[in-house]
Formats: sequence, structure tokens, C-alpha cells
Amino acid sequence: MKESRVTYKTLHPEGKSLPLSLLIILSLIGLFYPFISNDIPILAVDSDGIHAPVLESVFDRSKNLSRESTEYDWSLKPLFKFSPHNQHEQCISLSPFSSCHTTSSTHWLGTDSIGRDSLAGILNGLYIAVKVGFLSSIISLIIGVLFGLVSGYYGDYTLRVSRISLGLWTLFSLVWCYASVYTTFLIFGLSIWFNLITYAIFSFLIFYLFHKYVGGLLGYSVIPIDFIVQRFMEIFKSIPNLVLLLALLATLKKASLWNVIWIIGLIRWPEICRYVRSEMLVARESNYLRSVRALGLEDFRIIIKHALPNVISPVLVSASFGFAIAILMESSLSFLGIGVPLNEITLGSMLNEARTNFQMWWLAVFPGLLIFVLMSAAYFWGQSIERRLDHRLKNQVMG
Amino acid sequence: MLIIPTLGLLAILLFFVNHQAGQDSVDRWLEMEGLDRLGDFDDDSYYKAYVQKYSELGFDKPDFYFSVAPSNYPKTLNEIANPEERKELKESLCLGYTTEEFEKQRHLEVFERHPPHNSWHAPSFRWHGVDNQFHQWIMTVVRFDFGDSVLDGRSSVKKLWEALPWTLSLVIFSIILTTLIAVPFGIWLSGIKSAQKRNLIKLCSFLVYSIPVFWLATLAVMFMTNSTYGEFLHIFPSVGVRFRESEMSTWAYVFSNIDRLLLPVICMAIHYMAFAVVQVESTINRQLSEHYIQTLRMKGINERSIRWKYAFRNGLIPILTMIISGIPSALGGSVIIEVIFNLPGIGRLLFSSINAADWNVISLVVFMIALISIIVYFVGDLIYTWINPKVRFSKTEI
Repeated sequence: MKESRVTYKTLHPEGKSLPLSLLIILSLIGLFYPFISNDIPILAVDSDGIHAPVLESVFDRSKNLSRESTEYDWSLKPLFKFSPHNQHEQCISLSPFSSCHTTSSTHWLGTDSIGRDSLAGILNGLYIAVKVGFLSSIISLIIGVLFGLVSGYYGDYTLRVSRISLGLWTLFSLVWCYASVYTTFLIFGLSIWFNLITYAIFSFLIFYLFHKYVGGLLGYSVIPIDFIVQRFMEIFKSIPNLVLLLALLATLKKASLWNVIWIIGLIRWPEICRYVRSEMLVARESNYLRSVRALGLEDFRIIIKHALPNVISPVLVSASFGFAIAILMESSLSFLGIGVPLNEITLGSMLNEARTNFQMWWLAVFPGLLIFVLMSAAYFWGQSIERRLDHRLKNQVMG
Repeated sequence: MLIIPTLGLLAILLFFVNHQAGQDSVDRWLEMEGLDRLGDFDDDSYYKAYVQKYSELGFDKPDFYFSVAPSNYPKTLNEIANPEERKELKESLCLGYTTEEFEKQRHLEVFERHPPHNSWHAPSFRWHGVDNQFHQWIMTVVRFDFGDSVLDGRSSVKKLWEALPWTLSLVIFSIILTTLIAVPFGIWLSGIKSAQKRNLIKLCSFLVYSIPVFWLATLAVMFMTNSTYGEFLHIFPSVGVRFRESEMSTWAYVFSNIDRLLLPVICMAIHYMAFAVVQVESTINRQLSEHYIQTLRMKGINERSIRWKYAFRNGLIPILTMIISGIPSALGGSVIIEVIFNLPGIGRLLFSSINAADWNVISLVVFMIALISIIVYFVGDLIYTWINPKVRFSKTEI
């Protein structure tokens, strides 16, 4: 059992792993992109004292601090002297390694049709891709692991809920729906998050308290939660990913990055749930879980403390694939121009610009190359973990 | 196996989407009919046209078969066409005003002068019968008559019907190409003795698999469909399709443009080929570790026959499952390919109707794609159980 746990050694096989180090380096570059390519200095000293303009612009997006460098006594400039969003009208459509008349530094990867530097745009796109990938993977992990654990552990016949709790909860949900639609909550501006969180708290209280004290009065009924979760997963699986993504995004009126992150996370969870559920079905019959149940521990503790660490390993494989697919989806969306706000410069939007201007090959080759490197690094890392876990399980079974 | 509940749930979800978005589309319809000065409800002619279109599109009917609302609500709030008025009425009713009091103070600033008080009018049950929006929507789905498109007024089913042959031919050709090339390649790959060479080829195909399809397509369009980079690279024809001659049926139109379909099919198929090669090779290897292979070797049959005839036949089932599940993914990937190569298929229809907020067509296309995917999975299950002789001859129920 301890062999299949995810340890440091699983993540770093033999201490060296090219895909993982590539992923970490690219993520760090993406996260710190204002420090690498910007037109305002990192540190500056002038008569007022020491400033850090880049940090100020990161924490306060509305400030525009691009002053000329001659105003500072001394400044520490980033490596590339362009910011992604600045346009210079004289410098449009330059090819790589060319420099513009107004500034003295070279555009290493060229500029696009309105004068924005291509390298800075690629770094900005890298930041957005890494952000979308990580956050949507985390969301789909949380939802998928939750559903997978519950449906795998309880199966179809084991989840017994007391009928009093069930009836009370149904009544409570109906009253809650009525109240949130037809009463003053809407007017006083309490948001939907408040509603949902208090609903979750009340449901938990009903199920926990009543189950403990008044539960057995009307008997128990069995909920086939495996069946329900599987049907739910089938709905998501039967529609192609991109079509579902487009349809769900079209319903949201505002195009923002967080909408994209949430919806990609909500579409990817069935994959992870499938892995967790199948691992759980195997682990349920194993000796260690049986012995823990025989000891009389509660279900919740068994799932969280004993089963979860052992079924989490294939989830990491699926999460790395999910990271790659999330990056692909986000690039496709910004390529099509749907869902991601149009003023954001991402890798997909640079490709979209290249599609109509054939002579600007640098806008097509370099962003796409970066997407390719990110995706293949994620895939190879996932594959190496998968092979590593397979070896361990095989050794464990044989010997 | 539960097609009907899945489709039913999808129809219900699409109802919610349509209900919200459709009320915003009254303006689009009026604009298409040529009315100007939109949005100004004080203008009498616009208000009359708005109310008429609103009830024509069916938005003044109640939402569902029944509703449970506080007793100071009118029978249905939907009869009020003006959305701001509706919102004001709803807020004042929440605060406990009756309908007559609202008539007295229509404006919001008067409303603000009276501080709110919580008065909980008792919920009452109202039965609306069959004449409601949900029923109309279900009848639309069942009769498959999704209404007219807002963009050009044509029937949305007709638009879909014209776009379907393009996507179908794209998908079918790419599946055929994948099968013809990747499956023999995978079987040949499993017969290579040196593990180093095999791993190298598998690594290469994995790298090809992780190339994003839209990047490959954009590069192909950029370099090979025009002469900007030299005449020797101008191999494929330019993107788009030729003008349609009149009196040509859609399938004839597709076949007259078949040279334009070559590059899209190649771009789509490369991705699936890379995936299929690795899958086929691992399936054949798994078959080769079975016991019957040992028997065949003892009988003296050569390795090549074992792989190509016996192991392949038994490994056909997972390979077939993989090919059949490639059809829905190809449908999803066709969105991007059709936008890049400007083919008038379902993907581009979805894209243009999302850009134009044309909800009739969007619902129809999403429903159609889900229907096709579900039918394909169902048929795949049937084929799988029919092909597997253990199931076919054992008389157990599916």
C-alpha cells in the first residue's frame, strides 16, 4: 500500500526529469513575466528614494508607470525592454531581430500588426496559459476526487441515509429555492455565493445532527449514488469537449478569464472521477480497508485518512493530461475569439492574427511552438509517472 | 444505454439557456425586420412593435406548467414586455406591495422613498396548463423545428441540413485515412525487435500527438496554400470553397470541392493517427502475451502471420472502440478546422451563430452534435457486443 503512494520519488524519477523541470521553468517564467519583459524598470532610484515600479504595476493594475528611463538616477531594467500591451505606430509588422526607430532595443521575435512586441506577447500568453491550466486542473481535481471517492466507496447499495434527514432536506431545499427567488434577498444584494454557502452549511447540519440524534426513527433508505454519478458523468462524456465548452461560454454574457477557468474545470472533472472511482472499486476489496472498517471507524474518516492517499496516484497522471488539455482548450478559445476577452494577448490570439496575415510567419511559429512545448512536457511527465506507478504496482503484486 | 434521459436532460438545459437568452433577442428580430430606434421604450411605435414581437415569439406565456409564487403576484409576470418594468414590479412585489399600489407609484425614485418592510405573502400554487414556454420548447425539440435563424431569417434546420454533408465528409474521410494508415503502421511497429527503435518511434508519434491541431492547420495554411513563401511550397489550393453553381444539391457541391477537403482531412487525421498508432501497438502487444499465441507458435505459424492475422483479429475490439469514439472527437475538432479552412460545415455554423448570438441555431447545432455522439456511442456498443463471439453466442442480454 505504501508502495503506491505518491512520494517525492514518484514525482522526480531518478532525481532528473526533463519534462518536469521544463514545466517548472516555464511556469516560473510565466508567473514572473512582468519582471522579464516590461518597459518600466524593476528597481529605480531617483531623488524620492527607491521605487519598485514593476511590483507597483502588478499589484495595482490601473497605474501607468511607463516613464522614460532618463527620469531615474539609476534603474534596474528587465531583460527585454517591451511590455505586451504597448503599441508603437511606427513599428508595425517587423520581422524578428529588427529594431525600431523610436527605441534602441531589438524586437527579438518581431512585432504584430499594431506594433506590440511579439516576445512580450508570448510571455503574457504563457502566463495566461499556465494560470488557466493550474486553476482549472485544481477545480476539476476537487470536484472529480470528491465525486469519485463517494461513488467508488459507497457503490450502489451501501449509502444509507435516514429518511427523516432526507425528508427534511427536501423540504428545506424547496423552501430555500422559493425564498431565494421570491424574497428580499435579491434586493438587499446578498450574492449567490452567500446563498449557496449557507445552503451547504444547513444541509450538512441537517444530515449530521439529525443522523446522530433522531436518525433512526423512520428507518433508513439506500441511495444508489454510483448510478447517479455515472449517469451524470455520461452526460458530460457524450458531448464533445469543445462543443460543450463553446455552448456553456455562449450563455455567459461577460467574457472573462475566470469564466473560462471555471467552465474548463467543470468539463474536465469526469475524467478524474473515472480514475478515482475505478481505483476506489479496487481498494474497497483490499485487506487494509476491510480491517479498518472492522475496527469500526466512521466512513468519513476511512475515506479521507485511509483510502484517499492510496487512490490519489493515478489522479496525478490524469491531472497532468488535464493540464495539457486545459491549455489546448484555452488556446482554442482565444483563437476563435470566444470566451476569452479580446484585449488579452494570449498564444491563441497571436495565432489568430497570423491566420489572416500570411507574411508574418513569426506570429504563427513561436506561440504555437510554446503551446507545443508546454503540452508535450505535460504529456511526457504524465506518462513517466504512469510508467513509474505501473512498475511499482507490478513489483508489489509479484513480490 | 440510457439515451432518452441524457437527451431529455440536455433538452432541459437548453431550455434554461434559451429562456434567458431568447428574451434578449427580441431586439435582434426587430432589427432584422428593419426597425430602427431600438431600446427606447418611450417611443410609441417601437413599444408597440416590441410588444407584438414579444408575444409572437411566445415570451408572454408562463414559464412552466405550474408555479408557486407569493399571493400578491399577478398570474404571470411574463406578460409585461418591457424588461425594466418587469424588474421594477418584481422588486416591489418582493417588498410586499400589491399590484394596485404599484400602479400608483411606477417610478423607482418614489419607490425608494418608502423604506422596505418584510411582508411574507403566503405562497400560492397556480396551474398554467399546457400553454407555457417549457411545453412549447419540448414540442420544438420533439418536432425538430427550431425556428428561424436571426442572421438571415432562413429556417435553422435547413441551414443545418446544408452544412451537415461538409462535416460528415470531413469526419468520415479522416477516420478512413486514420484507419488505413495508422492500423497497419501500429501492427508493423509491434513487430520491430529492437526496443530502442520502437521506443523512438513511439516517442515521435507521441510528440506528433501533442502538436495542437490549430497550430498545424495555421502553419499549413500559411505556408502551403499561397505563394508568399515561394511557388514550390504552393501545393494545396487556397482556403475556402468554390462558388456554388445553382441547381446543385449539397452532396454534389461537396464532391465538386473535394480537392479543398484534402488539407483539412490531413490536418485532422495526423492527430488521430499518432494516437491510434500507439494504441494499436499496445493492443497487439497485449494480445501477444496471451496463451493462444504460444499455441500458434508451437504449431509453427510464422511471426508475421501471427501478428497480422491472429493477434489483429482478436485485438480488433479495442481498436474498433477507439475508432468509433474518434467520431465525436472529430466532430469537436471540426469546429476549429472548419473555421481555419473556411468550409461551410457544422463547426463554422456554430462559430458564426455564437458570434451573432443566434440562439435557435446554437441550440439546434448543440443538440444535433450531442445526438450524433450519443447515437455513435450506442451503435458502437451494439457493434462491440455483436462482434464479440462470446457475447453473440451466449444468449445473455445486453
